[in-house]
Amino acid sequence: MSSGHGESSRSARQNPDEPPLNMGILDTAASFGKEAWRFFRSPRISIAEFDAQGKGQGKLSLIYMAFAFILTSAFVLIELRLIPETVTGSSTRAIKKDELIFTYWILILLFVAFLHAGCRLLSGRATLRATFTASLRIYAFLVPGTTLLMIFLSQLVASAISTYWLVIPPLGVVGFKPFVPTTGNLLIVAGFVTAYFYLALFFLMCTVWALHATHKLSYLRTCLAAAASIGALLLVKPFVIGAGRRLYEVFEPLITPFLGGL
Amino acid sequence: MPPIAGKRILVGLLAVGIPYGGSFFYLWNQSRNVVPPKPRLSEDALRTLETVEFVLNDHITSAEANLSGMEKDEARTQERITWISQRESPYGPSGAPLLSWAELIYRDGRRLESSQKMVVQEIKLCRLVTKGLREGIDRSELLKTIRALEEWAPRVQQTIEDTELSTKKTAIGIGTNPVLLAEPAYTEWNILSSLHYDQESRISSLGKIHSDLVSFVDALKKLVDRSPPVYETLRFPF
Repeated sequence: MSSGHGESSRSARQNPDEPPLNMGILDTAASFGKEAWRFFRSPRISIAEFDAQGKGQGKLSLIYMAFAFILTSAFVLIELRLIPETVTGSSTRAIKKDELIFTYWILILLFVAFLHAGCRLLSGRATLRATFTASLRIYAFLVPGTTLLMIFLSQLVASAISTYWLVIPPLGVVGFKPFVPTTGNLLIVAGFVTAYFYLALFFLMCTVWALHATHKLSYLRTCLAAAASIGALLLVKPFVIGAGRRLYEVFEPLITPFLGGL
Repeated sequence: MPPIAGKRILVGLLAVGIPYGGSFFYLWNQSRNVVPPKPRLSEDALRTLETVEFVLNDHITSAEANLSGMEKDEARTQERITWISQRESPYGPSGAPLLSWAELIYRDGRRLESSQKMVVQEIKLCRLVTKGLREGIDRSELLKTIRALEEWAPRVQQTIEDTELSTKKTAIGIGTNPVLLAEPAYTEWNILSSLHYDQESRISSLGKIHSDLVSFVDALKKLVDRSPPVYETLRFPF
């Protein structure tokens, strides 16, 4: 991820794989899919090649984020259909719809802001716009990807141990029913926790790579900034969730028609 | 196998084994210290539920006492049937209608007993939900019991209605003006009619208890729906 100077950034701008910036929805969807595929095949190279200060890249990151939002919401809707109503209650009020649909995006935006502040404090060089462009670009691929994988794994494991789990994007899991702690069940859940650990680690590593490339910081400083941002996020998370819930309650009549059967 | 491949396998095994073993140990340790979930209702709601549970217990005690009373009445009716059906019974031409009436009362008694048992079961299930709500049992379990209660209610209602109808038919079953009965048939009629009136009053109070329970189950369902789910057993940090 170059900061927009020198030969490497010019070559990135001229990259034939880069999507043109004025294209229709279908073209954008196709380019989103293509870039997501490239990202998951070789994340580090894909992040290193990305030019965060390139022309129109900020706008494209936002468009990709919109795609990611639609995709993730669709995954969550499908996931909710997989859990029987008797578990969630005949009225689905008990499910934190706001957390499932939009609060995590607010948390992600806040996390990126913390990351930027942390990096700048540790002598990072990128602008706020560049940090957002780079981070949102990787999260646009990571959030739906990890959510889908987490839903798949959690459904698999939950059905194996006869319980119900709900994935709150991107990396949250809540259990609706305690599982019986037999040795077999513990072995299965330990497998899930291991997979979860590596998924969370991948999430974090992508963040660190993106910050390292954008801010031109050492890995140690980038990791410090990321750790401080995670700490800050965990501190403010309850307030954000509380505010999100209040906001949701106010706008619920407007939001509900868009959520369909959720 | 070249040495580099062996190293890679070792690193791979460690990379999977350490988090896997750590997770297993953590989960195993957690499972040893499982504490039952705490109730999540307000103090007021918990107090109301406690009172309701007390009333339900009282209902169960009196319903069980009623059941043993019914069994005694059935034995008495059976005794009357045996007595009336004896050849040397002194009722003359009134013997036959008295006998058929006693048989009808006996059949009503059996129906009443099964209705009473169903209602007792219904009250016990309601108590189970109330207790579950107080103790913070998983909502899905409570909803299962409520669903069973809802599915069962029409059957109980039907049984009670059938018993009521049969009791009404029995009321006109003897088809004889008691004033015209000579002694000792008149005394026998009095014994049987007291058994029959007991049944009538019991079935009417049973119908009332059942309809109260149906509305109570509806209120319980709303309460269970409103109570927050118990799902803090597994929560990942992000």
